[in-house]
Amino acid sequence: MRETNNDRDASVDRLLAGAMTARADATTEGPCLDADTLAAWADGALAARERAHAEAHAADCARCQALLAAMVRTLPPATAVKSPWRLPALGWLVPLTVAATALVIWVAVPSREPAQISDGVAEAVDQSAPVRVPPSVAAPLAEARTKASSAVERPREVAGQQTVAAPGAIPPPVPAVASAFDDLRERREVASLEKQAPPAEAAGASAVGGAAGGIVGSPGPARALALASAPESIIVSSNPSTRFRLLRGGGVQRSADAGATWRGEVTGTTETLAAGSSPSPSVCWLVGPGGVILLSTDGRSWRRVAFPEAIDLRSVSAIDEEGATVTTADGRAFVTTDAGRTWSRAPDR
Amino acid sequence: MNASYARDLELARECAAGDEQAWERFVLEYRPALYRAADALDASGGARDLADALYADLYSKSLFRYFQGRSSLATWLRAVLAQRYVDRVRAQKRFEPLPDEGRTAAAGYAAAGSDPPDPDLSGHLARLRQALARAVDRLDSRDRLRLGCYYVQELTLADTGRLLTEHEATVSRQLARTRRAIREEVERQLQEPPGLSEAQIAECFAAASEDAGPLDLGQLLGRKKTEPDRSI
Repeated sequence: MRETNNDRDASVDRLLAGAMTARADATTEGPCLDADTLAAWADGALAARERAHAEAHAADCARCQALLAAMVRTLPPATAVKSPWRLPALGWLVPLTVAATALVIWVAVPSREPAQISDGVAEAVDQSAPVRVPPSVAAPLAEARTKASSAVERPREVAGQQTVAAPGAIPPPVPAVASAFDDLRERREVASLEKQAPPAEAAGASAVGGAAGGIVGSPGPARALALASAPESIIVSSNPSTRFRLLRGGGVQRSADAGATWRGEVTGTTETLAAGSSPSPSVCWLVGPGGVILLSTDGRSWRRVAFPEAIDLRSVSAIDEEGATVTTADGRAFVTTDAGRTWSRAPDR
Repeated sequence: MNASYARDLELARECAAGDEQAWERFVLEYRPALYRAADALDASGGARDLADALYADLYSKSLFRYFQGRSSLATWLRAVLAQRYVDRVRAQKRFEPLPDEGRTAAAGYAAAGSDPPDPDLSGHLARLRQALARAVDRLDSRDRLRLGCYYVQELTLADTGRLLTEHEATVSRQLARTRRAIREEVERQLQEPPGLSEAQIAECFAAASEDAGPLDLGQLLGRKKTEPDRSI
C-alpha cells in the first residue's frame, strides 16, 4: 500500500506542473503587487497581515509569481534564510546537543568489535588503526572558504556525509566531540556497508558518494577501485530522501523518496559518470571521464561545467552549488568557488 | 522606519529634486548592482537595456517619487527592474505561435501509430484532472504559492525557501506533505459516487503519469481570467 501511495504521489508530482501553470493563468484576481510591496516583501519588511494578503494574491497570479521568482533570482547569495540553529540566541544549544548526542551514541553502541567483512577490505574496519574519512579533497576548498568568510559553519560535506538529518539542521559541533562522534559513525557505516554488500561486482547499488562524493567509509584503494567500476552508483544527498543513481552510458536517475521510486533525467552526456556529490537535495555535482562535469542546482536539469583538461575525473566533493573540489585520475585536485567558471589547482597535501 | 531605508529615501528625494551630487552618488552606488541584477535575470545581457531604460526614467521622469522607503532602495530598484523584465517576457510570449491546433487527437494517435485511448479511461482521466484541480483549489494560499514557485517558476528548494522565509528542508517537507494531501483528496473524490473501483483509480494514476497533458483549470472551473493592474 505504501508503495502504491508513493507511486501515486509521484504521479501527482508529474501532474502538478501542468495543473499549477494552468491555474495561475486562469485564476488571477485583484491588482498585482506593486514594486514597493514586492521590495518590502523581499526585504522582510511587510507587516504580517500585508504579507498574508500578498501571499494570497501571488498564490494564484502567474505574473506575481514570476515577479517573485525574478526577485529571488537577483538576490545576492549571502541572504539565505538562516536555520534556527544558527540564531545567536540558540547558539548555546549547539555544543550541548552535539555532546549529548555523541554520549548517547557512544553508550548505545552494543559492541565495538569489528564486523565480519570480506578479506579484500579487512583493513577498512581494522580497530587497531583509526578509521579515516577517505582522502579528502575538500580541505583546500574548506580552507579557501574559511579565509573568505568568518562563518563558523562546519564544512557541509561532512554534515551531509555523516548524518541523516536535513541540511541546516546539523549544528556545528565542538571539534573534539565531533571527532569521536564521526569516528563512531564511520565505523558503524563501514561495518554495515560491508555486511550488506559483497565486495567488487556485487556493489552495484552501494551507497557511494554522499555529500563528500567519496565512498562512504572507504579507506582502502581496493574498495575504492571496486566501487568505482561498479555498474551503477548511488549518491545520497545531505537529506537522505533525495538520491541520485548513476547508470551506464551517462544515465542519471533521481529519487525523492529514499530510493523507493526513481525518475530518469536528461544529462546530455553518454559517458558513464564516475562519482557525484550532493550537498543539498537540489544541488548535485557529477564527474566522469574526459573532464566531464555536470551540475544540477534544481535537482532536475543538468548543465555541463567546463573543466580545463580532458582528463578522467575520479571524485568530487561539493560544498554547495558554487563550490566543489574534483580529483583527477592522476590524483590532482582542482577547486572552484564560482560554479565551475574558474578552476584553480589545490595545493598537494 | 529602518534607518538605512530612511537614508535611501533621503537620497531618492534629493535625486528627484534634481540634486546632481546625489544623482552621482546614486549612480556610483547603485548602477553596478542594477547591472548585476539585470545579468542575473538574463545571463546573455538581454536585460541590460531595461536597466539602462530604468536609469533614464529615474533621471528624467523622477521615478524616485514612487519609492516610499518601505525597503532598501537597491531592493526597490530590483523590483522595478523585475517588473519590466517579467512584463516584457510575458508580452513576448503572447506573440509566440501556438501549437498546431488543427491537429486533432485522433490524427495525433494515427501519426503516432497508436490506438486511440479507451473512452472509459479518457472519462476517468478527465475526472482525475477535475479532482486534482479541486484538490489544489482547497489548499491554503501558502501551499499553493509554494507549489507555484516550485512547479511553475521552477525555483530551487532553497530559493523557494527564501521567498517564503522557510528553510529548504522545510520547503521539501511541505511539498511532500502537500502532494500527499492532494493525492488523498483526489482518491477521495474519485471514490465518491458514482465511484471508481480501486483498480480503475490505479489505472487512472498510471495513465495520468504517462501523459499528464495540459490542464485548463480555468475552463474546468468556469473562471474568468482578469487582467491584473500593471502599476508599479
